[in-house]
Amino acid sequence: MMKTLTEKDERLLAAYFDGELTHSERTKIESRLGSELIQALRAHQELQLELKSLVSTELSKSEELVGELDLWSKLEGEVRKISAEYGRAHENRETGLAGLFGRIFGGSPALRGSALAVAAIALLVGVNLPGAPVPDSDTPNLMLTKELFVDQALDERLQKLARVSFAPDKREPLAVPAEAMKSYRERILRAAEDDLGIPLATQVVNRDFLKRDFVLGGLRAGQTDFHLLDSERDVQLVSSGSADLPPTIWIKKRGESQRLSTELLVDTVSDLKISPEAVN
Amino acid sequence: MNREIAVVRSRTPQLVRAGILFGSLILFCFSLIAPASGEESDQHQICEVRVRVLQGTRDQRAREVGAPVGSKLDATPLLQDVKSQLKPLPFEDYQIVDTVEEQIRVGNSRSFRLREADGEESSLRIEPHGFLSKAQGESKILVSINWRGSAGEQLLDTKLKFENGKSMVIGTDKAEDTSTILCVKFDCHEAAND
Repeated sequence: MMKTLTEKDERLLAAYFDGELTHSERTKIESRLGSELIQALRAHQELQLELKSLVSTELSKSEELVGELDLWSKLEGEVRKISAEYGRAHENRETGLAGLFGRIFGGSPALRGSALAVAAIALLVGVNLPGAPVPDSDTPNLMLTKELFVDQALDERLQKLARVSFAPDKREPLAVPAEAMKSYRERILRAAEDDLGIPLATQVVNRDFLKRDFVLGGLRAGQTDFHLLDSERDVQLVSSGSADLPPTIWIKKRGESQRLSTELLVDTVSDLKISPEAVN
Repeated sequence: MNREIAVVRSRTPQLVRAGILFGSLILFCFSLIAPASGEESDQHQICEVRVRVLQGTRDQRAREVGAPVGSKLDATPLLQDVKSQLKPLPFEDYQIVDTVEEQIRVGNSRSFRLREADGEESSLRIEPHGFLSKAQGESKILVSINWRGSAGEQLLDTKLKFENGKSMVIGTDKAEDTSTILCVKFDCHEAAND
């Protein structure tokens, strides 16, 4: 008949099994080993195997979790894809942001949702972190998504190039002619623009995009950046000939021109020149 | 005992990683909040705004903007700070018709009624959004300017960034030979709260 093991016996046996006993303790317990204790020992061995299996399973689950936590780096890669898509989106635009994400991320709702979340956080980063470093021109950045949001929100009919002439050296009037471009940019970027320490979205876009967007709706005259220029009349910017001074804004008489409404997204990186070839 | 140890060991990497992630999230959230809380100092930003309303009288020899002619600007000491900006305009004579000065706190807006030479009144709304001091590398201001004519028509709605301490010159043709010109000067600085 098997002798019932006390709690103390169980602990001793477990310690013996784990090799945690001193020599004298081990000798003592071995002297007590009978058939019933050997049976109990086997039960412990089985339990140990179970535990090992359990540990292995848990570790495997942990690794899966780590893989999920590493989603950020994966999403960064996805955002890089977005930056590539961004260029193509200019030529072949689809309506709605969801459409673009759907195209990029296929049928994976989880990934699509996560990417949207990252994009939203990137938007927050862009809005709230003054002095955020400007990445290299060829380095895609999470802030790209802010520009993506903006661009996707633009109506297709607003994608016409603003005709901008820029000839300050000749002291000729800088004409910002009538190209109706009432866009959503101002509203979307308002928060960022209000803080002078925050670079505008165009700064984080690579050089090609930046040039295109600048021509699309940005204007820098001398050291003055125009974010918005709206009038019911035609407007000329008259250069003072000095880069330190803002140009004079001249509003023409009523009836001389059609309504001018152009909204500008400016660059603050460098003095970009708009060449005559790019004007129209 | 072993069972407990095993379970604890199995959870440890998960807990540590979750802890690191949670900690990073807290730090991230704090970094978003920190700039906003930093604004709660005993300093605020004030812009001294001076608006001069000028009447420009066109020289008969020049009809187009951008064709500079000789003017009496050199003999007008009150307009020396905007001389370079007025010179390209085709006006020979400039008369100061009205002047208003106001302190505007950054983030607030203020509207002005401006008297013009012909007796009409236009309205000007100014809102300084912010400025960078020289200590921050460049001294620039970001402002919105909205100018409406006497009939309420929108002459100009602009938002622009330019050097602090300089004037923005805005003008429009009024009659055949006259014009209304605004010289809006901004001088923004830090000021202690009351």
